[in-house]
Amino acid sequence: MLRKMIMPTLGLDMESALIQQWLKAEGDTVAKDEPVVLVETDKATTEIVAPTDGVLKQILRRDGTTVPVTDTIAYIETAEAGDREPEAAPPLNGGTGASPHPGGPDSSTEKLAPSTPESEHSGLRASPAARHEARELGVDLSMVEGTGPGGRIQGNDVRGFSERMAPAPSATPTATPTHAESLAPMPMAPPLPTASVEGRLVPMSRKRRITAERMSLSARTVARLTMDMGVDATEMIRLRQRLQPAYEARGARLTHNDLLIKVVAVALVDHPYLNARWSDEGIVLLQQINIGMAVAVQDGLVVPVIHDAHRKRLDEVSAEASRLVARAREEKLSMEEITGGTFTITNLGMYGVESFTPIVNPPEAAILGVGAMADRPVGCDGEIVLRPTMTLSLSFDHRIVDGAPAAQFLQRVKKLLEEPYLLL
Amino acid sequence: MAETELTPRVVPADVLRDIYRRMLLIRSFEERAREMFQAGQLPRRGHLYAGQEAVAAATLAAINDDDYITSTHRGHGHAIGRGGDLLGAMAELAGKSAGFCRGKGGSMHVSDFDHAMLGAFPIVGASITMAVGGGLAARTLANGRISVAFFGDGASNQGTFHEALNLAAIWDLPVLFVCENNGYAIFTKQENVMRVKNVSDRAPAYGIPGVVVDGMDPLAVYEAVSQAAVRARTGHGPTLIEAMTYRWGGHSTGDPGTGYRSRDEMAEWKKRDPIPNFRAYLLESGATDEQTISQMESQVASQLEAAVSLTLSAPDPDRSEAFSGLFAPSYEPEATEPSGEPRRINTLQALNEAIAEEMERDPRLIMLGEDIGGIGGPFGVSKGLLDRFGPLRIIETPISENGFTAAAIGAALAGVPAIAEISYIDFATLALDPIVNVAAKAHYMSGGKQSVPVVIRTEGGGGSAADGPTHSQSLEAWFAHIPGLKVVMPSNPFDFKGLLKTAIREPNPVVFIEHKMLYRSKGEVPAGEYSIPFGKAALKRPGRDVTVVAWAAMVPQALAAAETLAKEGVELEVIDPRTLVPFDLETVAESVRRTGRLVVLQEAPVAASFGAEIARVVGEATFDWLEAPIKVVGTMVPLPASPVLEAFVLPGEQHLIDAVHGVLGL
Repeated sequence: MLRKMIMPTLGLDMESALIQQWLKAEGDTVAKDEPVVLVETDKATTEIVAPTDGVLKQILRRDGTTVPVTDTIAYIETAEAGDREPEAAPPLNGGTGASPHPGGPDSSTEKLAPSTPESEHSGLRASPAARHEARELGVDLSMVEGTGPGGRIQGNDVRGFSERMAPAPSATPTATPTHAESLAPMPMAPPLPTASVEGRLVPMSRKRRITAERMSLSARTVARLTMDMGVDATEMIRLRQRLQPAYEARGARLTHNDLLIKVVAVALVDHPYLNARWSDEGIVLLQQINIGMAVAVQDGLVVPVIHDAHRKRLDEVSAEASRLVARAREEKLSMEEITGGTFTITNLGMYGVESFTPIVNPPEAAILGVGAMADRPVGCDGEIVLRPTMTLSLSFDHRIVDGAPAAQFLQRVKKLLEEPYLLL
Repeated sequence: MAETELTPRVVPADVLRDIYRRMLLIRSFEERAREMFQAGQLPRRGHLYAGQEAVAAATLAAINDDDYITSTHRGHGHAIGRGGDLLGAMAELAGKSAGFCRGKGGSMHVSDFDHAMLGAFPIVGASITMAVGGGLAARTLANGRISVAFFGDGASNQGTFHEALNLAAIWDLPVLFVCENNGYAIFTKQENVMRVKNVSDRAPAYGIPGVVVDGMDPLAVYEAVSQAAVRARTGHGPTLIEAMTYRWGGHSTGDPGTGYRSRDEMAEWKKRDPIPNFRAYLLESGATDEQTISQMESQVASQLEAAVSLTLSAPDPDRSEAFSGLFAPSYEPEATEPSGEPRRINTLQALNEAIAEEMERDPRLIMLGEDIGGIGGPFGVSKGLLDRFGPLRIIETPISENGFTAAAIGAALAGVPAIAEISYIDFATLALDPIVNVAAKAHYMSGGKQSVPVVIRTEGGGGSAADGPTHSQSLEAWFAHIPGLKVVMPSNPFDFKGLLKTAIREPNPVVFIEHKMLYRSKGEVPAGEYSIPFGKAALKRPGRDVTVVAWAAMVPQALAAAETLAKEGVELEVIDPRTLVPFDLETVAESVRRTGRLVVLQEAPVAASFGAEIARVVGEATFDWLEAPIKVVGTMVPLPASPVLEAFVLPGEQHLIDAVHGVLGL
């Protein structure tokens, strides 16, 4: 069926943009989120990505034309069975005629300015069947295009999405498919001829596939920048030691991670661009602060979320984090517990990793990597002394936030960790 | 004619003692029950019979123990007077499983089913029509029994009184109408609501004898009932006996009875208390002696004590009781393939064959309805059956929908399978009490002791371009709403025949709705014997895109829509549930799990309709498979008579196509 591609609103004050150059020609295969056309606004030149997998069927607005926002600029023919979608030729004047996509107007209003991170999920139109299939197949519905009435996601949309994500059934068991090969619809250069190498094919689990999918999406779309900053953990350790007996008396346990979650959440209150989302229409500054914690589980990664972490007391954050980690390990997390994250913390310190460059969890703006805490020599009042330190690595989406404000956020986190009494 | 001269006769001493014993049982029970209601040992309240004992005791002594009786909300006296089972009555008042109705009936439904009591019918006036059913059963079975209706003066102002007396009179049924005139219809004085002086004054209007007797005098009652019973048993028809009596208490135990009755009036009546008076008479006449009568009295007292202590110590019913016994075990057709050459016949012929074959199979089966003889009813379903089975089985009725429907149900309660034909379902409005309050409840409320092998055959639906708003309705949801009724709505001659045969064999009440526009439609029907189980939907057309549930005249409409939509590449799966109760959820749910979409096409108004019910149950069963909201196609206006307006309003092919487009987003 045909899907229209529109000139997106790239900023709140943008009214139109100049089509600078089509990167694809009619008849080319395009993948969802693959850049298709370069457009120029009064502020910058931007790539516009394909809204769906398919073939660029018809370009309506050629290079050099200025197009108002939301006007249709091209049609993409998707692989979806088109039997319910009229095959009529799209109007040549572009977008003012009858919409070939019945849900067009509906779905575009829906996507506008989500006021809370939840709205992206709750406002998402999916049939009960699609939601059921998504649970069964481990598919994130927000990544699926709906083909039903009003853009409603239907069961076959989810199944189709899942199938496209699945490894090609023709893969030879002796070959080791590259990561890219397994993600069929991703754009890629023709594979280089590879020498035949013996190996064992490990079929991808749903979880592996989803992890791979999200990481690829991040790598493909996020303008990532990582910056490191050392933190003196002396006071943080002391605070934890002082509080621990009180926690243990209640049968609880306070971890450095709990403190990190609380500190990051409090710091985000004053740095809204780190607690934001990328959308085609613009940057959405989120009201809620929901901190995701990357937890390694069998064959993948899950990110349970502590909602409204900035409003919760430390003991509440701690109790919830420990419950979520336990549920993650038991693979019992509910949909609510893994959705709605606005910022993620990932800690590899326990493996001795000093610092690393985390991958942003789309559509979030940033992720904080936590390195190993250890006694290290530091200069103090002209002397070299041993102090417990660790390195924080902030990866962020440069499309959303620039270097200086990100650094200021990191400074704030450092300050709060080194003087945790400021939390009071 | 209003009063028949009574011929005094010698009543044997054992009968006199028997009458006294019956009165004593009732009085002791009612006095104890009053104390227990007041002490909170019995739930809520009851309608006590104390004061009126002479009527029940003498009537029941004058008839045979297997003669049918029907009673009212004030029925303790009739149940106890009949079988003397104090425990069954007391436990029923207490809501315990040892009660007559396993505790499901309570005070107003106390009925000794084991002793030919057809029930206590507390909707005032129903006991009169139900007794006509008993008389009809006695005539059909030729078992020599009579049927006695107990009712009050208040009931004689209900339409049922008129319909029942007329039916019994025109058919010379062996029925006694025993009116216990206690002077008050609840709180209203009888003389304020009747222009004639006596209820029995109305008897001549029906061409039957009417008698007034002193209801405080057991011998007077006994004499009148004995004569009327002989008259009834010998084929001379019914008698109306009005026994003037008085209730000691109020309408119920919640009413002291003093607000609308003077103390003088109450005192006057109490002087005429039949129990001490009749005791004195027994001693004076030498029918018994003090020792014998004291012995009887202490026996009754200890029997009552035993009933009370067993009742109070009995455990409450198991909660599973609440959900058991709605239906008697259903008739299960044998899974045999229909035999014989298929013939192409129409629905009228298919229905006619089903009734005739069942009449041949079961010689007890009767059918009642207006005009069902000569022309075979307004649509001709029973044409020729009167000649074949005679007027005792194909029973033409006056225009008395409530009366003959109740009579059919009463006959079914007495074990005679019956069909009542209500010409148009719109007229069932007049017959709802016996269908809803009696037939639907009987099996459950009798604790499983009664079953109701009755079929309410009726026509329903629009499309005739003539009948208009009150002869075109689709009221199936009303009946499907009532627990205890089965509802059948076939769509083709094969189903009409097979399902009607099953309906007739069912021990449960079945509302069998025949759509007027289907009577002349033809289909293949095998010549041989077959019947179709209830609760098995028919897949009329397989398809992958949208499930459509339609019944009766909507089935051909749905199939036509499927044909049209197939040209667009949309494949409908059309399912005809055939029976709405029981509903074949599994077949529909299985289909919806495949298609993800359901549209219900029904003729009935949509609000609170059976289509809405299907949406509810299928929605619950298939939520995780749904791709679109479930749609119910239907109207919300009466069907207008104008052919143009009716065609516009009546749901059909185009409405369904529009709805299917809607759920597919086309």
